[in-house]
Amino acid sequence: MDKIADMDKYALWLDSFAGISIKQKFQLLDYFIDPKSVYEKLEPNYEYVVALLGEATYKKMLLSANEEYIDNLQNDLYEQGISYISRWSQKYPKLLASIKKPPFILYYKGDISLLQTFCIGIVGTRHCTHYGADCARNFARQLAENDITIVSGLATGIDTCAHEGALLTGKTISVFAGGVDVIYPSSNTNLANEIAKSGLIISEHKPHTATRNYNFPLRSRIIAGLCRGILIVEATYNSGTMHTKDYALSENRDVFCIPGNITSSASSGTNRLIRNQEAICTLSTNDIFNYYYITPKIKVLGESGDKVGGLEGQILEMLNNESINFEEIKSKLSIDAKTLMQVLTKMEIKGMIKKLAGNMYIKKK
Amino acid sequence: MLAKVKSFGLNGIDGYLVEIEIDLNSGMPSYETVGLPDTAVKEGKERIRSAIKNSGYKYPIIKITVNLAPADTKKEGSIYDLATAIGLLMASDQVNCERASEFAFIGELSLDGSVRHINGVLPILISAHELGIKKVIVPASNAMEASFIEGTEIYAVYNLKQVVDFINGEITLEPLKAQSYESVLKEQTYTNDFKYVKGQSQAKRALEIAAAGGHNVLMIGPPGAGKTMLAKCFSSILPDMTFSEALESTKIHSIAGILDNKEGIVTTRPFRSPHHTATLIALTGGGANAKPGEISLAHNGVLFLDELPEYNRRTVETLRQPLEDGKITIARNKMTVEYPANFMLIASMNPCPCGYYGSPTTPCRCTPSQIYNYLNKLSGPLMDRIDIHMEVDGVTYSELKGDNVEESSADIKKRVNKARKVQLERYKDDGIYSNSEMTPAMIQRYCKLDDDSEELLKEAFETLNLSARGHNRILKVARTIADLDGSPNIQLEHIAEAIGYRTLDKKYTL
Repeated sequence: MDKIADMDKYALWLDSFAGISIKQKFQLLDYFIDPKSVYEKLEPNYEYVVALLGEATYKKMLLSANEEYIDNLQNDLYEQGISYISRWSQKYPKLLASIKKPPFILYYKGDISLLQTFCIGIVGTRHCTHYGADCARNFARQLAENDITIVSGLATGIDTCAHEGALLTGKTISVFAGGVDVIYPSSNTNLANEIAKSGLIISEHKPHTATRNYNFPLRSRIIAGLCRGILIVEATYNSGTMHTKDYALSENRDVFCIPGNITSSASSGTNRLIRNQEAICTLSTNDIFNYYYITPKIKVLGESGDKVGGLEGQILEMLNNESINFEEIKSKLSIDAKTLMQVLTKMEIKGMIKKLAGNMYIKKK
Repeated sequence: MLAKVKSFGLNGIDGYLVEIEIDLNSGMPSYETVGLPDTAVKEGKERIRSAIKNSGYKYPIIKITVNLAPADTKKEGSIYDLATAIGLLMASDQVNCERASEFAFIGELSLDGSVRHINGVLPILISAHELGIKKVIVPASNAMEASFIEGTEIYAVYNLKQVVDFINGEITLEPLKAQSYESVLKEQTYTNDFKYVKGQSQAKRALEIAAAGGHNVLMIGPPGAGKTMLAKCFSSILPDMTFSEALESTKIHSIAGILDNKEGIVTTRPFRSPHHTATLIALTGGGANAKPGEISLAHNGVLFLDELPEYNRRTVETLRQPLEDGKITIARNKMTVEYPANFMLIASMNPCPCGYYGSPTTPCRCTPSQIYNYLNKLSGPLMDRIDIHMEVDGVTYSELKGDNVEESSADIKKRVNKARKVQLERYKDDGIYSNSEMTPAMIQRYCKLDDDSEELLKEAFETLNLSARGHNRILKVARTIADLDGSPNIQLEHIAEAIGYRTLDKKYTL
């Protein structure tokens, strides 16, 4: 156990040098096998290290190869509420460790044990349609309800919806392309905070690292690596989502695709994947459950609402299968706008329903 | 010989006495106006000469000097024509000087000697009354608005000859009979009535609350949902104008020259809807002459900004101060004037650039970030001044054709009036008139919540991610809902309903 903790520590040490690119770090690890040897055998391997990193970085590494430096790094992280694990840790998921270049360190905020759970990634375009947003939310919600952890990247569009859907009923992991404390896009700050609270945020980049677009494919590799399967909700043919798909296929993960309208550009990529038989055509969560031999929790329609009586019960009954407009609810219940507004707001506060744009209400859970 | 005549000028919505001095000197025939006249005043000499000649009097061919006192204030417009002409006739002994000095004269002259309409008669007459001037001669076309002033003898005249004859005692004129406001305030009919708006019960309810508490409203909905229609109907449920309110509005409308000459007074609350290309000056008022802008014309009424995000951002931001203070001070190098601008803001917008976000019938083409950016065009401080946000959704065909009898504006207005009365009673010592004007201290005093309501509000903030700035807005709206309900205290239901009108505080996009 100590040895592992040691390894974590040295991984952190290795990752702390800004002068070494991710690629070089992997080269170092290939040569030295693990970070502890890098730390200990720096001087005997002077020539290799200088050839790879240059004299200046070598000196920096040598100077900081002491316990005090590492303690400071650890304290810094601790003060920011950020934890980390290395590839050599017990907590590091086996599935991720099996990919070609698994991240040798993961910084995280939240519940690290989620990495050991059954994960499905839900990814897709930033420019999603309503259809895509609804699908992402509903699939995420239903999968999460059955104890599947939803992994995504917190981008706008499909990613956001996937996280939101998952948070309604279960757990979700967000993989950042920058430091775990750099929320990108900033409009998702609330969502990210919520994920940190009840789910998990991970990143292979050290804190404060700005989100750069060249890191997105690296992030895709982690998402693909963490998950048993990837569900692509909506993606154009040359979308960044295709990186995730490529990684997933090359690492032997399953790729699920939700078909879309053939005239919709947002679905052009997913539809082609289905046609080329690269992905499994997914029409409902049952397709995913069946694929993995999971028996979904039996849900009897209307059952969840049976304890609620009165107006609220009637409204829940109505919202069982569809989203309904305010005026429609009003005319069906034949009550006045004032009372309905009160009831709906109370139900929303209680978390029974959610209001969507256009005065539409849907049932939560 | 020297003659002095009284007339009036306008500074903002207040009139001030202008004394016109006319002196005839021997010398080369000429006509000189001093006392900071603008071009319209200077050009008056041509109108005056023709009018005097064509009315059958003699224009003195001599050096004429006209001084408009106070000489250091800028004089504008054709308002002084009549007074100057009378002065000239006095100086040349064609008019009874002693009698003429009892009067003040306002009016523009036509070349044929007739007296033409001018703007701003009502504010002038009000200041004349305050200054103790007993007799004023005004153009006949301004008679209607002039007739609401009591205690001043006002004579409406058609032409110069009539004025001269009257002063010389050759004919007699009857002063205008003062009209009572009540007689004009007949049973008003509105072309836009809520009974013609099918469905939209939620929007109507929100507007009823807005009218009752004086809350500003933002309506969000797809094109064709009926936002404009609702806004137009809104003035029909606003409480009746009091006489002093009507006078204030009339003053501004009179200066702007948009007063209905048949009515003579503004009896229905103004509804102004400037187009979104409106400039900052058009909205707030200003220009070289510091004219009132749309927000002042909407004083005591409604300012409707359709498609709010389409307005120039700077233009809309200028509304912040007037929304807070109910007035606007316009400073120009020539003058600084203050116009009242106590209006209710009704704004409407689409939920996204394409307009159809959330529409059940037409798919939206916008990306979430586009929607986010579109909604973010409205600044926080401006949103802070809007108490009610509501969504207006398209009406279905069946609703449109349904036989449902909708409530008429008159019925809604009765409830609104009742709720307003409650507020007037409550705030009689606070110097405000409606719930929307409550200060944080007053909110603490008048919006006490019981434990249940407090708990609900707290929960709402946690579960719905409401922004903190919404807190006081919710309390104010809840207070109005309670007033409409006739409830002395804010109850759980009132808070619950009020929370429902904070759409944009919650997360709106996908």
